[in-house]
Amino acid sequence: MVVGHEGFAEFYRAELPGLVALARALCGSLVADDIAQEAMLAAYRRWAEVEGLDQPRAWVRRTCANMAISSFRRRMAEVRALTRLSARPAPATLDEDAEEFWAAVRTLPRRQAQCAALRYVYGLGGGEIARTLSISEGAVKVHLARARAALASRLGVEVER
Amino acid sequence: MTEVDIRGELAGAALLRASQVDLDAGLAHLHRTRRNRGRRRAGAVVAGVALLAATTWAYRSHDQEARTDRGDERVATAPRVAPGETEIDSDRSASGTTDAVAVLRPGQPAVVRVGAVGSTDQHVVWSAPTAHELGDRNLPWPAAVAWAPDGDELAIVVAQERGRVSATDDLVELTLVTVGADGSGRRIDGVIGTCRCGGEPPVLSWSRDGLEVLVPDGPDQGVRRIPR
Repeated sequence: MVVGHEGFAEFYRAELPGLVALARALCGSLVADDIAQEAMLAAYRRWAEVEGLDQPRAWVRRTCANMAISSFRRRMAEVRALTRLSARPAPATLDEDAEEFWAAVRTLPRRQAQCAALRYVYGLGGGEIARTLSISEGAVKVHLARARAALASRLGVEVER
Repeated sequence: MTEVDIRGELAGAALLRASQVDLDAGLAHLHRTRRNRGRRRAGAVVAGVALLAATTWAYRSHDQEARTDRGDERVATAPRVAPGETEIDSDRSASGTTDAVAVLRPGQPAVVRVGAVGSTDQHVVWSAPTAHELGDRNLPWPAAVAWAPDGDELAIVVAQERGRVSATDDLVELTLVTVGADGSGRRIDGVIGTCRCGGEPPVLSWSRDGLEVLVPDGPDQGVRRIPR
């Protein structure tokens, strides 16, 4: 399917499932589809510019991660989701361990949650997370270390193995 | 690798498995949304003219009590929030006759409406810019509303996340806007403080000397006073 911008459809197909997972990791299942779609819409509206970036997927992942963390945007997405909730299938459920893990991630401070979600959804390393969030690699290390410690405490597991 | 990393990788894999979406339907929806938003911009001009006419008419009718005084029939009572809308904040004038309601709604996402209590005669005195007008900036929304004691003015705290949508930082800027009861005479006081506004919204109230905004958290946490 060609949707206005050449190459965008391919980008959309490759990135959307990961964005839905990223949004769901950061804000829960009800509005994840809407937030991922909103991030894609932002990319679509300025595709000529985004396509020219070194890493278009880092841009859209950052946008999605920011939108998912924003309480206001989440609320907006909830409004949209509620208006058509009856018309859409329920999202697939996660197993209990995964649900518990992501619920714990959602209690972390904003940057720690974003770093943890990018690490565990996409399997990104520190450098890639830093480029995605436009922060330093050192800051990512600190955020991930703090996130691990907080998650270990909340999940009742050991920090080091 | 830590125990947390192992749990995280398993949880990530489970999340990706559970996040399969209909890509063709999503692409079609995206295309439709973009096209519709373009049409909406054109429609906004027509809607603006209609809104102006509606505003004039609504303020001639003023409120339910005035209608009763004139011997007019009371207009039908309707909920303040329409289907699909979410109320953020509201305030009733000291006279008890007029409501101001800040709402989120799909399409035109954030507005403040003013009208007689229980009336459908409501008109918009503040609205967020459209997505097209905003470009890369984050959407502002009305976080708090408060009527002046004399009911002649309405104060609105407008909140907007700083930065662009792709690089939003943690802080929300709060701007104070005051408008006349009919939406005229808009006065913008600029940024009055920043907050994280993660859990609690700002609280707005009028005092003897002006306005007070309780900033719930962040670098400007506390009460900000804006003299009038």
